[in-house]
Amino acid sequence: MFCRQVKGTPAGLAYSRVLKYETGHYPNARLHALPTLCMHCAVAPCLRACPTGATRREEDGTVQIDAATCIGCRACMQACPYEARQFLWALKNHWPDEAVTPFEEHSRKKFDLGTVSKCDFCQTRRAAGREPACVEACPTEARTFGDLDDPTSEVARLAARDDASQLQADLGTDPSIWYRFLPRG
Amino acid sequence: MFWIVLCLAVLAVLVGARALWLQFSAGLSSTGLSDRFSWGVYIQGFLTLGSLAGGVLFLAGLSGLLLGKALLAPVAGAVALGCLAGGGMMIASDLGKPFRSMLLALGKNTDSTMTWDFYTFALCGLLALAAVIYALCNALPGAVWSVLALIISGAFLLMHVLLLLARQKSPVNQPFLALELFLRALWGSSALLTLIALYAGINFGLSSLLFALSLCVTLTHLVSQFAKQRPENAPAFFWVNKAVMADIAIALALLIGLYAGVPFLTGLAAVAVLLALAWEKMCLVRAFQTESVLPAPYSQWQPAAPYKPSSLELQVCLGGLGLAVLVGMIALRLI
Repeated sequence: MFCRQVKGTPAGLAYSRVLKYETGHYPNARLHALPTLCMHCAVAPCLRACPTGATRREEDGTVQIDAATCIGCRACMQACPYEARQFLWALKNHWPDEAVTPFEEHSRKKFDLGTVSKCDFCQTRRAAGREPACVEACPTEARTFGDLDDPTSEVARLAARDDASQLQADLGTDPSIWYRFLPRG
Repeated sequence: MFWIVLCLAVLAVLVGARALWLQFSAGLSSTGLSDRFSWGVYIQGFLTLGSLAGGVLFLAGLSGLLLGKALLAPVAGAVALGCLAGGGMMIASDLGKPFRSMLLALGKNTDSTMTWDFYTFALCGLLALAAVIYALCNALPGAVWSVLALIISGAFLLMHVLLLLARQKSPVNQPFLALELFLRALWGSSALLTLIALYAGINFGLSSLLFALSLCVTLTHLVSQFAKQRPENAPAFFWVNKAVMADIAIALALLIGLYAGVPFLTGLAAVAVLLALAWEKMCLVRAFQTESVLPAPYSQWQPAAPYKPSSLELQVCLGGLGLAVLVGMIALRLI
């Protein structure tokens, strides 16, 4: 919710989806939640796929989209193995039967219809020295943000643990998002 | 007959242009596409018409080198020009920002298959145009054109394969995919040239080639199906699927048409080949996107991506096809 509030994403667009899945069998079945967002991969397939260079890597290592040069070919969406990118098919209201709220009216200016959009790791918040919205808002502090290249950082320490792993690490994309306690095998 | 087909093509272009205008106004939300199934009939149409354009140029280049004279070049140029015009309309319709499409040339991301697809598409267009201009000057292009046609059209067809393999863990992982797609492009283009020859009463001598390609395609398809990992509890002859049976039927029809001298049967088989090419692209694009790319168990509750093209999409496709026929026929008439 906080992500939606900060980014002002229109209805149907979610930068941080939470997938639910089940492991085990009755009576030992367990329901899990897997928050997914753009993995800001070190070897990003979307960077290779983008023909216009609209997808680029920033100096801080994150992968960003320049909406002004995106032609909406969706090659990056096809290349992304995490389904992290979304296309702006339409700018939908959150309350379809009611008028557009002033907040929605203001937020819409940030979105370019017919282009691809995704999580930018809250670029503007980070520039102001704040953590991404999802990290700040998580009530159980399940999310940790930091510099993976700094071995003394909390996030690097957590990523070095035996129970930490990357999603689809076998693809060689080296995602920057690390999970703890992902099911093995 | 010429004028009837021309009028129908103009009508189709008008329907397509109207639908395209409506789509530009409403955006791509007027299509049946979604985030999970983001490439639909436009890409299928582009791949089909692109295969035909690449295939005819490849055949013209090959015949030019083998015979010493690019006799097929004028017809191939006209056909390719039409197919590229129709394919261009379809790919432009698929873009979220079609008026920014020139950024494809300026982006210069040489790692991107899409960039090379655009470059080879444009070069194929120039080659086709050159062949038509040569024909208007009552001349035939030389060996340089033939070599360029072989290289550029071959690269164009290759890009289509790479486009389908660009996805990580692509479900389109059948063995001999590149060979099969390449052979099918040549198969479809020789069928199209055979149809034109039958209509115009010219003998390009392509019926035997069409039959030979038909055998090659059937054999490659059969081997590729056989080499696929066999699912558990599958019936013994599961790999002899409907597509292979259709390929065999087409080959038989061509054989009878060729040796019994029944042009109608050859024409019918050629139409079937063109339909098979379009069907193959549809199957590929669907197989490419239906399943989630996220592995189990994370994707266990993600249903297969639904896709049903909207009537607007189908109208634009009709327009693209009409444009291909219109441009092709005008170019053929001119030469």
